[in-house]
Amino acid sequence: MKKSFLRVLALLTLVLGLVACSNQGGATETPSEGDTGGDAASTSKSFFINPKSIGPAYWAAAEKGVKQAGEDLGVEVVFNAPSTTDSAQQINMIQDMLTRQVNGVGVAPNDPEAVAPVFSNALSQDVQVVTWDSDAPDTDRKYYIGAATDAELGEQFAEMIANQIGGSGKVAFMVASLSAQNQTAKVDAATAYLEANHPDVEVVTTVSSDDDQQKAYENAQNLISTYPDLKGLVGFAGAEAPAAAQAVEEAVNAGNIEQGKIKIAGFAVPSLVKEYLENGTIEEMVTWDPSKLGYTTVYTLNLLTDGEDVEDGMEIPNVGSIKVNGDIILTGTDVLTKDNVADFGF
Amino acid sequence: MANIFKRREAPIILFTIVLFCIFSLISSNFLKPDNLGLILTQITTTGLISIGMLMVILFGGIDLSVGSVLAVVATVVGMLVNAGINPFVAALIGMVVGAICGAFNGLFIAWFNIPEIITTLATMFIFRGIAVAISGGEWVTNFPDSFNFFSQGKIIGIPVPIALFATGAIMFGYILSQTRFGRRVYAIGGNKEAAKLAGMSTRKTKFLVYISSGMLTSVAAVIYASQVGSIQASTAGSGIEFTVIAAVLVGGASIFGGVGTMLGTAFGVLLMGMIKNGLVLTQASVYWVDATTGFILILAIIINTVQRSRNLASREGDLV
Amino acid sequence: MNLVKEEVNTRLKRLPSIKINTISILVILLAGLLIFFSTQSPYFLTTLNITNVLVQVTTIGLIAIPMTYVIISGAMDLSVGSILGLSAVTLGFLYESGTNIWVSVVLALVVGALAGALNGLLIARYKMQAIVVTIGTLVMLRGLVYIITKGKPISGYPDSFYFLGQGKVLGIPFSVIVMMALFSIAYILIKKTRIGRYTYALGNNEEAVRYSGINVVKVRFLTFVMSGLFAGIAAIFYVSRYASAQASAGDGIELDVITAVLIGGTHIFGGRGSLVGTFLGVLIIGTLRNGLNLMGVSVLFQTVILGVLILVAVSRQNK
Repeated sequence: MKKSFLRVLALLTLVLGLVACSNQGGATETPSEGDTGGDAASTSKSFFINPKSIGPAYWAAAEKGVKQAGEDLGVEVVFNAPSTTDSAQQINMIQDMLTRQVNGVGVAPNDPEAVAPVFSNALSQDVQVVTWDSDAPDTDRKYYIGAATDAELGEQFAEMIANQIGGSGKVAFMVASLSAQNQTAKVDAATAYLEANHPDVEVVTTVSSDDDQQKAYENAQNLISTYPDLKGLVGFAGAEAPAAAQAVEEAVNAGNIEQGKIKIAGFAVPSLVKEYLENGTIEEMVTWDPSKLGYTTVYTLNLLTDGEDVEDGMEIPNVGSIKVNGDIILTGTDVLTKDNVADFGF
Repeated sequence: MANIFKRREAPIILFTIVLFCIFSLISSNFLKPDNLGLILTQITTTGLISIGMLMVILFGGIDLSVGSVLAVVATVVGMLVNAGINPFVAALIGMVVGAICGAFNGLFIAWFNIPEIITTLATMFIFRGIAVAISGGEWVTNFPDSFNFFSQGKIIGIPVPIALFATGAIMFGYILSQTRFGRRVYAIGGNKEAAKLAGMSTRKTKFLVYISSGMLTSVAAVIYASQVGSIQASTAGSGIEFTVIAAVLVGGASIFGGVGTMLGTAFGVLLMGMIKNGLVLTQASVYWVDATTGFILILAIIINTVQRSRNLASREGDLV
Repeated sequence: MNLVKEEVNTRLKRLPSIKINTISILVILLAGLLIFFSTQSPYFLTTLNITNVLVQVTTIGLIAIPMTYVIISGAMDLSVGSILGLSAVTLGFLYESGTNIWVSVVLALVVGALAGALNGLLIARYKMQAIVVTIGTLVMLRGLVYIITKGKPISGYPDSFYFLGQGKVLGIPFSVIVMMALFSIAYILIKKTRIGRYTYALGNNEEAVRYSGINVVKVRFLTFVMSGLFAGIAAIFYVSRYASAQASAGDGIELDVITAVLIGGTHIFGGRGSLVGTFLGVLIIGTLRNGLNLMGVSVLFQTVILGVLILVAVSRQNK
């Protein structure tokens, strides 16, 4: 009995020690002074910014913008999410942060329908709610902050690939998830756009990588081998385009297809596709800076909690001018080419 | 010749061949040499990891941490290569890191006597955290061209990943079936108490198996990094443990240990890779891929079990 | 070949009950966490937050009940997350296509139980390895979910249905009451009935149990049906609470559930374990997550902390 008691004691010390360390070293909270327990008394505002999951580099880039905004505006920001894109865990976490009495939450919902109850709950406690990166239009959220709407992006991707392959031929879509609303919405828009404007472009299939780069890469390999007359691959999420480019480049090197036969379009993170743009495997891609989304989210929440509002065309420091269309705030997209890829810092 | 059908691997080999024929019939592209080469390349990472997993399962253990070990090693190797270190040196350092991860597992399992599934469930979380911490949450990417050797290079005409997997499989196939070390692994799984009484150091054997498993996983990690071209520590290799365990078990190994062969495992891995590739090639609807994969898996298990009970029935009458 | 030998060699142990020791250690651990977090966050020890934690653990808690049975009996069920997903979208799909909501609920439970029965059939009747079979059904049933939904979440249920996951009785969330009630019933079942004794016996020595004339197939089959049924119950509360049935619902939950059961002192090789321990294990995981969230600790460190907790808390289990 004595022995096991000692063991528990040791265990507790270890776990709590780890907690203490990680809390200090975790750097999840901007103000390094100020003890976490003490924020009840302080009058400074705190916001909870919730991406879809923690870990993917896209969100790590967004976190930089969030932290920057926290520092610039003098507010406390907590950036956290479940380690997988799990809707239930995400909602539990939002609920926990509401208990902590944050003043505002910015959420990139994994399931746009499921966040509705917790959003209403937040509003009833006078907590401002916005969505970012991925919208939940049928909830009480005040604004959605995105680079562009999913429909616009889907159409932009479609136009880009149609343009590159000369308006006719087979293309395949590569998505990160078959159930994420911001992926399916883009796919639907792109499909509709191609049907209406480029009837000769045929979408042969849509494959999903489940956010796993190896799977994305193998998907691309299998597509190239399944459809010998494939002319284009469209990547709808960050991991898809580089995986597609890697597979295409390999097929070219192995002599299976000719250089330039398969074009790649869609969304890309500049640092991931830099070498493929430079060696010509990819011609152009659509991109946006997730850190700008993060910055704008915190900035908007700060305005809202001050009782102010955003305006169309207003300038946000470090971001630029924003477009406000009803309850949607757009920060804009860029077209990435080999000439400008070096200019992006993410 | 008739003995072939009594072998434990017979059902899985037959099943693989049948499925191979079905895929060839449905899709004309399946049988192309390019595509067959593609399947072989795609199974190398799971293949290498499954060699280690086979040994672990043979002595009655299980290793859930392989995906996280892969992430740690891929991240470390990727960062080293990007820091200008020679890819081969980086790969060797990666193997050392993999061996350390394996030793960590082995230490808790063999010396502190904590069950395998618990230790590796824990280290699955811990190694994943370490991998993300090392990478700083950012993509490790834009590797120099020299690093492509591990995915696109060739040794005497054979692509490097396939050569590495084949070497690993043959080497450990030999070790398992022909050496004392191999017989010990089987003996521990077959009967722990007896093995202990017979004076075998089960600890040392287990420890060595986990270290080998870690090193095999790190070779897989190097290939992974080179193939995929960019590593995201939080997701790299996550969930791979299920594919690998399924491959080993479908290949005829028993989860209770003592039963299983390298040949069966190789076919298990091949079967899994073929399903993945074949389902895309048959142009099946994307929503049907998972359901069909699961169905084929269960079919494979059923066939295995039927074979096993037949073998058993012929020896032990009505026991099962 | 070696199968006979394996089975005969299955550990021969006395019919044990879990040592009181384990439970007291868990209580101390939980108390330690509660004290620590209440010093770290002023919001931790509030009624609101405690209610939150309890509601948050209902999904894991409900599934952990049959998982305790399954693991005690010496098996494992990895497919529970996919069964949860399947039941959830069955409910959504049926309601969307015009079925009465309560009929849909019942049918969703039936589907869960049937999925469990499929596992049970293959594992109990046909002696297939539980881990392999349930990895297979994990993949297959999740695939079925995607076929049914085509990836789109199904939402928009009647208000009366939301009572299950969001309503309260005497200030206590209804889902928590149901979880507690089911824990109690399962506790009595495993302590007082023959089925319970057989479950322990199965985990200790399946051969001996078989020869003693007990219907091994039936007992094992029942544990898996129960596992499927409870995943179905968890799915009902899941859909009601989140007002949405999403294709990825329950993905990966098996690890959380197994972790909770193991922390609760149930022996991974079967034969030993208790529902009280599992309940405490569930609470410990829930409290840890909630407390760390309140402190704003990044999830990456949370997983490492969870890993260390497993390693140390469960290290008492000797082989």
